Amino acid sequence: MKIPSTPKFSKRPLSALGILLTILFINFLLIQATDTHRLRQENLGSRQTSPEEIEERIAVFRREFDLDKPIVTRFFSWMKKVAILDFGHGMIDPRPVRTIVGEALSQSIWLQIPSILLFFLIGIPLGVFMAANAGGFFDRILGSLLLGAYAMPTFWVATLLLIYGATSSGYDIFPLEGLSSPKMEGACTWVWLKDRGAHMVLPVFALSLPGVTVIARQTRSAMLETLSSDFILAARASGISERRVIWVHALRNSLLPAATLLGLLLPQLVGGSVVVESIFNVKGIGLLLWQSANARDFPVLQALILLSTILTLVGFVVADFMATRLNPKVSRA
Amino acid sequence: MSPRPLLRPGSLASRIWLRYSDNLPAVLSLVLLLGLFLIAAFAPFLSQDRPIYMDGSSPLLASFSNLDWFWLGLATSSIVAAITWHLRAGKSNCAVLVVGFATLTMALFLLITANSHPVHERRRYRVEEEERAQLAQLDQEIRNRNLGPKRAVELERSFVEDSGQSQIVALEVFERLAFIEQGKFETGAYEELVNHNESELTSLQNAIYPINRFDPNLPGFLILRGPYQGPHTWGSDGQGRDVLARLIHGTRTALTVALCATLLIAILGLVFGLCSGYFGGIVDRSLTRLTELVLCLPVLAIMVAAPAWFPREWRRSPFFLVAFLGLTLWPQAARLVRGEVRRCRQLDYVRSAIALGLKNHQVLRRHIVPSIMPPFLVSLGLTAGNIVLLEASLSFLGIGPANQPSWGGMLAEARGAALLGESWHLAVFPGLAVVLCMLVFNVLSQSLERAINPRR
Repeated sequence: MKIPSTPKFSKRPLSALGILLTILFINFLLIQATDTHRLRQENLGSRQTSPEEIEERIAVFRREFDLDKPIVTRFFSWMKKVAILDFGHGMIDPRPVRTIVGEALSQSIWLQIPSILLFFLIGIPLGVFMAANAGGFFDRILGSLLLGAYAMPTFWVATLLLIYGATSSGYDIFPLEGLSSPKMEGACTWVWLKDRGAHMVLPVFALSLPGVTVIARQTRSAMLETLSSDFILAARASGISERRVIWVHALRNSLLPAATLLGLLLPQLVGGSVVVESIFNVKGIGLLLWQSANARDFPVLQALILLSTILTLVGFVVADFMATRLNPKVSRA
Repeated sequence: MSPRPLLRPGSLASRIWLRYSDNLPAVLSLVLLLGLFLIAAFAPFLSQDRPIYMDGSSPLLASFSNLDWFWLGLATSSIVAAITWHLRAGKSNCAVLVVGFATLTMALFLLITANSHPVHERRRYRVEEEERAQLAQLDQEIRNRNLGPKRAVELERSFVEDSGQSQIVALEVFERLAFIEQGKFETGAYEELVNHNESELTSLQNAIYPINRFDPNLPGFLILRGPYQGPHTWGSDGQGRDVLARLIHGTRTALTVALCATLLIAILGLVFGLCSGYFGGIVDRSLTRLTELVLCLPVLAIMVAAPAWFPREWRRSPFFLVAFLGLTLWPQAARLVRGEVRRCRQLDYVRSAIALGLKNHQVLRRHIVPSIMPPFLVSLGLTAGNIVLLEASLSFLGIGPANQPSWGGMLAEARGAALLGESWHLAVFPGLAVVLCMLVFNVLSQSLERAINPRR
């Protein structure tokens, strides 16, 4: 369970820009490589969209991405559109892609922000606690529990939660699926919040479990390394209380892996939630990605791939920035 | 070639192995991994509804898929490797073990290739004595002609649903009762059917069967039975397929994908990392840019989205899965190798080897690759664990090998079936299998790391 090393973009900001341009170019190629013939064939006799509708949408798609024009024209008009975040119209859902993705994002945020917060709010204190009791009873018990939790696949946890937490428990505390109950439109804020909270508990738990285990274990090993260094010995010798030594002096120097992980977790906003969202039927980014991949909804897919690649890149830059802020030696090395 | 033991005493590898074998969880996980590989390699011999051997023929081979041939090829090449090893090296415990394993594989392989010709479908199955007695009783009742359609339905239920018969007996019962239900009971045709089937069943008296007598893909009549309810030891799923059989064959899917993808990652990572770290300069710079670019691709999102650009069959192909996992996950390995090679290149013995005028490939092979291997293996172990997890998630979403049971796919089916009621075994067993596999890979690489750097 190592933290993957991240590229050092702070030393070479230009290389990040180069990667961004390459990613944009690859996305342009993705649109060029769409096979509308196959789409047409697969849509015959299936689903609610009629052949005429599909023909019409393919025509719209070809017009929007200028697929009838020379490739140089195509490229520049595509660049112009991407710059103003115009990704055309969806093929299954005929609304603009920007609206579709924005709607899904507003659902995903409800799961992702709390789970990323939980990563740090539970993971870091847990790691510090384990490091403070290193080798002790609680450390060993928690260590093996965390290893077990790390090995559990998210979709298994989510399925078990769905089966035993939501359906057969007999209580109606945790609703089965979605992010809100039907007929919640006109409810007052308090009732709405309560309903939303009840819907969020199970998916957020399933999403945050792997991250919490990784961060706790990383923090523990970083803390152990810090606690054995000389300045901690000096701090202890000068009579600073043990609590202050651990939570202030040692923790600040052990935050590096957790900070790096924050950057690496950003792309999880798109990819990481596919499984959990499809299990709990939350109409977020992950489910949208899966459904549009199944239906070959190319404009939406292109927007989602672009979004997640850019998030990954931004995540690396953030991780790198945090690392240099926390430990200036990193940028000099 | 002078005799040489497998691990030279005092060498780096033997010191790491000594420290590694001192650690109980490490050895345990190694044994478990070997066990998982054995299960994967011998899956058709462990769970299959056909006999392994029956008088003069082997029905198993007729049904072999590409994956079976892959595993047999793997086993055979391990035999060849072990024998060459044994001839070249002196005797050591490990070599003896490998040779033992290889001989066993060879024996089984010969057994199935020696007697291969297709058999009649019916002859694949075995019927227990007790079941034969019940069939005879049914026969008697049919012959006495005191059997109306209503009684036939009752009998069907008592045979198939209540007593939990094996599939073949159930088929037999259906076939015989169909005579009555259709109302065209002719003694001649019935006699012919019974005699034909009886003779085929008799020819199976001396057959050798796998331990678990169920095919992983064959739907059965007993739907959603729990463990030890009826003939299915670990229960059956929503289509009446045996859960244990599917778990055993799922091990093979998971390990095949993990093994192939990890090999691909190892090759790509080693080649790119070695070139980039050893040669430096423009090679290093361009390869680093490439690595960073691929590193920026979100693996799971791309894996889910990618099949949209390809024919629908590719979505269910194991080769597509392996290729995609390999092509997106190599950058981590390449970065690790590059760092290690750059560190090694500064060391005195490597510099003196270069100064002595050794060729590049000699320096790489003799001096650099052996010393970067241990940390590289550690990271590959972690990668293999991650791939098992990724494969399970992807087959949960419907991307991955078709016609082949996989743990993720079983869980996806369990999600639907679980809402029907008492079918905890469908969700619990495959999940535990993934957890076991992940734990084995993680403990393995963690303890290997500890054996390499004992100070940490």
